Amino acid sequence: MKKGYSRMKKGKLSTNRIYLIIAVAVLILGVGALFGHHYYSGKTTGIEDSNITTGAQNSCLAYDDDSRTLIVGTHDNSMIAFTDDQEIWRVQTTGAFSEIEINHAQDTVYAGNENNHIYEYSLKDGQLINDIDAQRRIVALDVSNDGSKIAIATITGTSKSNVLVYADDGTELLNVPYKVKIGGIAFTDDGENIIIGNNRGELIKINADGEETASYKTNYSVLQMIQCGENHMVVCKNGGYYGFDDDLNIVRQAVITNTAQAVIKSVGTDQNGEYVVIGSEEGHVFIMNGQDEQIYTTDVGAGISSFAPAGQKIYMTGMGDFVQIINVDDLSDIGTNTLLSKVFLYTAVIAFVLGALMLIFNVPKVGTKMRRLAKNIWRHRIAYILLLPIFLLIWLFNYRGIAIAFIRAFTNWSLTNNTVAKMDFIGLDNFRTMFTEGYFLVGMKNLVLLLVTGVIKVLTVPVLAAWLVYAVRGDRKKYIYRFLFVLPIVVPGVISALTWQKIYDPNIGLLNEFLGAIGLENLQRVWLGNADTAIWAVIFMGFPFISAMAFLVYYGGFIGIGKEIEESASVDGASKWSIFWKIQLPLIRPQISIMITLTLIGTMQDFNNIYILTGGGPGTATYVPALELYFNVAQFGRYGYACALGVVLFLFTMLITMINMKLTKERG
Amino acid sequence: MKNKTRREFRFGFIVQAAIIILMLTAFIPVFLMIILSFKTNAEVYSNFFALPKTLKFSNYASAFGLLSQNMLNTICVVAIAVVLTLVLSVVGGYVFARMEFPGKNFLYMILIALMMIPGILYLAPNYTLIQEYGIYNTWWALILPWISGGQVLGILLCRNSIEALPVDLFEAAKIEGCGEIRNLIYIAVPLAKPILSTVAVMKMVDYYNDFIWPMMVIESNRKQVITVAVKVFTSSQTGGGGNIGAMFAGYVIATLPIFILFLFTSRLYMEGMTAGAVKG
Repeated sequence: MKKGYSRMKKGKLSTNRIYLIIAVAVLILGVGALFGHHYYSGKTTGIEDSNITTGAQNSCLAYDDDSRTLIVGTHDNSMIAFTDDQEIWRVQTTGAFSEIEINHAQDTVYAGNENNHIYEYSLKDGQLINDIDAQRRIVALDVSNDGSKIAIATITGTSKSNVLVYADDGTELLNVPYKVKIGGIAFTDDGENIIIGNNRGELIKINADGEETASYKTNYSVLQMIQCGENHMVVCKNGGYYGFDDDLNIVRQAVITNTAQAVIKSVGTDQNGEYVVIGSEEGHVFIMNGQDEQIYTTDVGAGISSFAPAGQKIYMTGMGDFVQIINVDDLSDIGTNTLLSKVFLYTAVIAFVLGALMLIFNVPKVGTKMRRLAKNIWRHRIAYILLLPIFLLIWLFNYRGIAIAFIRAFTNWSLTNNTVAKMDFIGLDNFRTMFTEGYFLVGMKNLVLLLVTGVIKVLTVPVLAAWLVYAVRGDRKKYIYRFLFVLPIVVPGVISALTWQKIYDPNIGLLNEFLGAIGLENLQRVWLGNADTAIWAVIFMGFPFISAMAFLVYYGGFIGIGKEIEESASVDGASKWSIFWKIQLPLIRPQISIMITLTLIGTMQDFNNIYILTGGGPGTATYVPALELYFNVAQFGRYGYACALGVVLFLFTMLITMINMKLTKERG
Repeated sequence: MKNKTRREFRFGFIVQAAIIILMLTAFIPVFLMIILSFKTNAEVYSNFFALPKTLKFSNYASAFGLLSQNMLNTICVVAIAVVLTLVLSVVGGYVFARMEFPGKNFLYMILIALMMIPGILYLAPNYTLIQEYGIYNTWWALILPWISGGQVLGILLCRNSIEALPVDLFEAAKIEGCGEIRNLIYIAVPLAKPILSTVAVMKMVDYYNDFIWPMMVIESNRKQVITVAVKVFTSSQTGGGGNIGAMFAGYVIATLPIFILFLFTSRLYMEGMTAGAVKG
């Protein structure tokens, strides 16, 4: 008997132990998954720094696969060749290099220079072979495959262009003038024809005599033309790119998704012409895969001017002393790596939750309770299923944002520092900026003015209007007046603000016209354009300030009081005036306090009217913190700072709500 | 006594006069909008206060030509969003009013707490999240955040209204074999119709008036809603080659849908407005 009992106990203990071991194992799995997540999230960039520095601002580059030589042109008039990150030669001229082409047949380097010369160097040692003076500014350059001909596009003035073809020895073979700006030039495979792209978006094929033999029209200005595998490729101003063959048949085309509205500058590709990389003036890099899907977007912070394919890699340089390497190998896995990193993250979360639950179940008493709870939850699963979409939505579109706002208010999160890896915690710096930068302080001053006047506005005319309608005799009349007082709110807020903007217009504005008509020309002002009057113009928008909501709430309050009190007071000889002040007004205090609270909270968040009327101007005369927040999100991309402003505004609204609650409680 | 009647009469007269003066002032922008919408540029500049000599309907034609697509967009997006809001509101309202389950109060609190949190707090995160979710520059970028925020007050109002219904109604149906879902569809929805129509009108106006958010998340004018389109339209009509009359005609056009809605549902409209204030 005793033995059996102890065995039973032992058996139970060992199941518990197994449970414990499984729980710990699950937790360890979670830790492992977390490491996996960390590993793969690190492999989702695909862009790394090369070890090449030139000591100057770079302008262009080219790469030769056979000799593994990278040639970089700089803005301090030199061109430097590197093999395996070691400088092998360097040349110096009188102008900056603008474009470099390597001819593999002859192992020579052709370089267009801003001093209007085309230089030809030996790839091996940088020996000058030839020097052609084009006498015009060179914007694009290409060399035929056999190296016998050089084609350039030049520009003089703003739109006088020439296409010039030179033989290897510098004799001019062709000179065609154009009245458009040429963005790119390329030889066809046989070296007989030339393809150019211009700022009208036209791709034109011309033969050796300069006659146009084919053309294709894209819709936007062509910025650059490159070799893309077997074909050619151009990038246009709108971020669209076209791959086409020697006969101008379009083989691929797509437009990048350019949410940052970056100014497109350059295009590049890998050796096979599969991936397309597009760079912008601001340093945005957009990477598209062979299926023309945008797989990666980043911001390197400096304008991107040139790319060079190097097998599976792409070299990239621009306005700075940097040469970066885009690993196409990694890029093709970015999708998988991102997915894996996500899978690992979710695995980790699930493992931690599961492990924790198993540990809790292991504690005897809690375990029973938890089991009962689990059963209970299962029994009411239908309720949870029905609530799922609701809570999924508020998680995705409300609480996730709220959590991010509170955390990232303390980071330098911005358009450029847009991944967790790039973000840094900067403590209270964002909050300090508010006091040092100035906009916030100006905004607070205006906000206080708007809050005070807002409360005055909601406490005067709407109360009066509600009381007047309440005092009218006859239900029908009452109904009509109420209807008409509320009617103006059918005008959408934006339309109302736009109309008021026109009322304040200096030339055709109602206000100035009215002042002119009654002979007060000297009072006419540029109401919204004058720093002294702008904020008052904003405040007076909506005159006579009958907020429909306040009107209805007060009206409801007066109705709620009932006629009896008023009538008995009236019998006692009280005047309408004193009944209003002594009886009715105190009785609608709850409505008044609601309206004050709503006005304060609403005024703090609202910036629609100011955005439309003045946009914060002139200067900063009508700035408010909410508007500053909006500008920091939509225009400056300083998200972290915007979050900090949001937190401050949130705290203000909380304070007001709490004061209101306290007052209501005391009264109750 | 006679004296008193006279005083009453005088008082009534003053009240009505005050009301009419206030009302006329309040309507000034509306009158301005309508009158200018029928004028030619020359008439606006030369004789501002005069009524238009002939009603220039071509202003409306040119404004409508430029805004019709956006108006259609708005009507579609708002309609979809309102329907979804109503579905979520009545489902949430029913679950919180008529079902008991662990964590009910906690979940309800999480939901209602949203009403205290100003949207501007998470403007920046939501702007980036919309891009992360891949719905930037699509109608979903409007609809989903709208219904997510809009359902909260809807659920609160629906819960109160369904809780006020007699319990026996639902119990009887349950005895007859109706499940929760059938109870919801066949009993709660029909009886919650009044409150649902209030929510519908309220949210319609809310969504229609939204300006900043569409401006941020919708890039292409082809997909844009009317409020933002009117703002863009204004910029194109002011200055050199603009047509002031057409600009105001655009304002009138953008106001019409809500005006029509108000004419037919003014009671619900007013109820909705005060419901928001009192319950919130």
